[in-house]
Amino acid sequence: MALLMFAIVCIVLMMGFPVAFTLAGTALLFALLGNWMNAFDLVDFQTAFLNATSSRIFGIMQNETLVAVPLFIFMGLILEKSRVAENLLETMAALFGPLRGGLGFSVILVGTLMAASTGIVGATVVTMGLLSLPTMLKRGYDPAIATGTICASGTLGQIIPPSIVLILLGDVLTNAANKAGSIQTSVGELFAAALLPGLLLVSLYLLYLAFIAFTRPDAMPAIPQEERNARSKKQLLKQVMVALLPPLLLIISVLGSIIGGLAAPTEAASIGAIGSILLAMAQRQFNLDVLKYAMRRTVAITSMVFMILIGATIFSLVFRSFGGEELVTDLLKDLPGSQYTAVFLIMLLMFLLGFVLDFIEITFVVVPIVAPVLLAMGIHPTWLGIMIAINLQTSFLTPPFGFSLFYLRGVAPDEVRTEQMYKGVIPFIGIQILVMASLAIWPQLATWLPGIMFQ
Amino acid sequence: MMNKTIHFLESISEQSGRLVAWLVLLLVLLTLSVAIPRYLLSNEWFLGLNLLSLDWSEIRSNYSQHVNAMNDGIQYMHAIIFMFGLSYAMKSGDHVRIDILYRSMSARRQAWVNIIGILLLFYPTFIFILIMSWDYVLNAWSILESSSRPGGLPWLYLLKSMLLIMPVMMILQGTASLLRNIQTLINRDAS
Repeated sequence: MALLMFAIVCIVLMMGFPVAFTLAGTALLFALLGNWMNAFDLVDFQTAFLNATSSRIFGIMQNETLVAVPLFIFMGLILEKSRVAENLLETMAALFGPLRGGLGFSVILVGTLMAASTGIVGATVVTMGLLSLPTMLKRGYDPAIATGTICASGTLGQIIPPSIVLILLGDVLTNAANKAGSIQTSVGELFAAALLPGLLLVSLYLLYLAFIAFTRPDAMPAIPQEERNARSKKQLLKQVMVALLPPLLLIISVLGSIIGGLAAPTEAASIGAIGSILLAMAQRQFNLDVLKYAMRRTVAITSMVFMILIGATIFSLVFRSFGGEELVTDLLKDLPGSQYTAVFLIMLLMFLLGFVLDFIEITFVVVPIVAPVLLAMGIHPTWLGIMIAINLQTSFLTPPFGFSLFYLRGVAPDEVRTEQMYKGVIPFIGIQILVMASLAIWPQLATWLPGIMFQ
Repeated sequence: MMNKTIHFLESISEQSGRLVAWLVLLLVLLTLSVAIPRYLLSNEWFLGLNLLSLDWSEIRSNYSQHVNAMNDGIQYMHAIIFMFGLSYAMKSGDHVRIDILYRSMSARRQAWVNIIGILLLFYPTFIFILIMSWDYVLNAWSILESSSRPGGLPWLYLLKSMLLIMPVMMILQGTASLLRNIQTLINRDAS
């Protein structure tokens, strides 16, 4: 019955009614059904679990870790409004333009920096698509390579800290670890753990582009000579100081203070928020309208995230009432082979769910159900978190359902064919799988840095 | 008549969203004003500077007296932001949908999805939260429940009352949305 409910919810979700309400509503209809069938002894439905609803929602209201969510969203919105990304991209392009493939490098590097500031799936892909795709095509880039690069760098937002989803994942995994009585984790540890795999991904992306630039020069040409001369070295240096250094410093100080253990994520987020306001002021982009816009959008996006959390909470209470938890535990425990078979299957399931559900939904609905079992088997929570993040990132890149492909399709000109986009992302999917395999072989890639940072 | 009702209901969501938006800025400032003194007061080098030859032990005890109230304040603001913001987010259409199919539907179809969704999924959810929270909130009021932290804010029962206010606001906004979708159907039929 629990699994049937899960399947039905997935089908109902496809109709397009908001996810949070669908999760809660469908589960409650099932609860009614369960209650009725219980009277005839058809299923074992324990209504007692539902009594926890109010205290669970109040628990969400009192959750200290999640206070970082609105703060980081606010910081990202201020940076977005102050046109930091545009300036960055322009500067990077001026810096790397003279190189073959230079524009591609800039997109990946700016994507990495942007990722660290917004962390919301879609936002980065759309921004980068609007800003850089037309330029790349005009310069004669192979459309497949241009679109692949943009899609891939857009999804970096999920893994490069301080991404919002890592905060949510950190919170969910902490609860799961408490439940399983396993090794602990925290948002800070997850941030530290994501750093090396994230940078590894970025370097492999760059390496791949360098390889293409070397073997197929006409696929990613350099900016022509005459345009280069239009800007003197001195001007360029000034531009770099103004556009590149401040956001870089902001992100390094926010991340550094979390990973260095100086500040809690929430505290670092408030520093980042003030820093982004100062930055916007310095770029003369700050005024009352920008502030109001950022504050209101923060309210809306934060509420959206927490509504999914509330919906997922109600869903999982009903799921437990049907005995779904024991069912999943038994299923995973009875698998042949080691605990890694279970991890592999869960990863595969999440990969497929990533085609229909967003990262936030999977974090709140699926992770709380499966993570305690995996952690009780001895899986390291921090490692699991990073694997989930990279896995979902890959899922969002994979044709034909990957989210980032949809987002880019929405803003790409018609002359870019969809097949070209599919072809373009395939090498990046290969890189993703390579990094996941390395993480599976060498878990230290994720666990080493947090291990020495937080003893 | 219908238009007036929709506008009235939506303006509740809109105004409350705009109002709590200012809490975002306050949240940033309050979080900073808890974090910075905490950091400075535990930093030997800074204390060693002995600026203005202040009595640090007095300042420290002062800080620790108030820090719990400030931490409670951070939590209150955070909770108020999203509990009041839920209906605002609904009005501005920010609750995410899986739109693979929805996007390509006709306006009529979309209106039907929303109407059925609100009646069958949305209303039950918030009526359920309202019913489940009734006794929970009443209990908090009967003892005027206060903070669990020493020196924290004494208004926990007020904060818990949000569990009743939020579903009511959502039901109002949901009704506005329901009427708006019915209007879409009617207008389509008329034209």
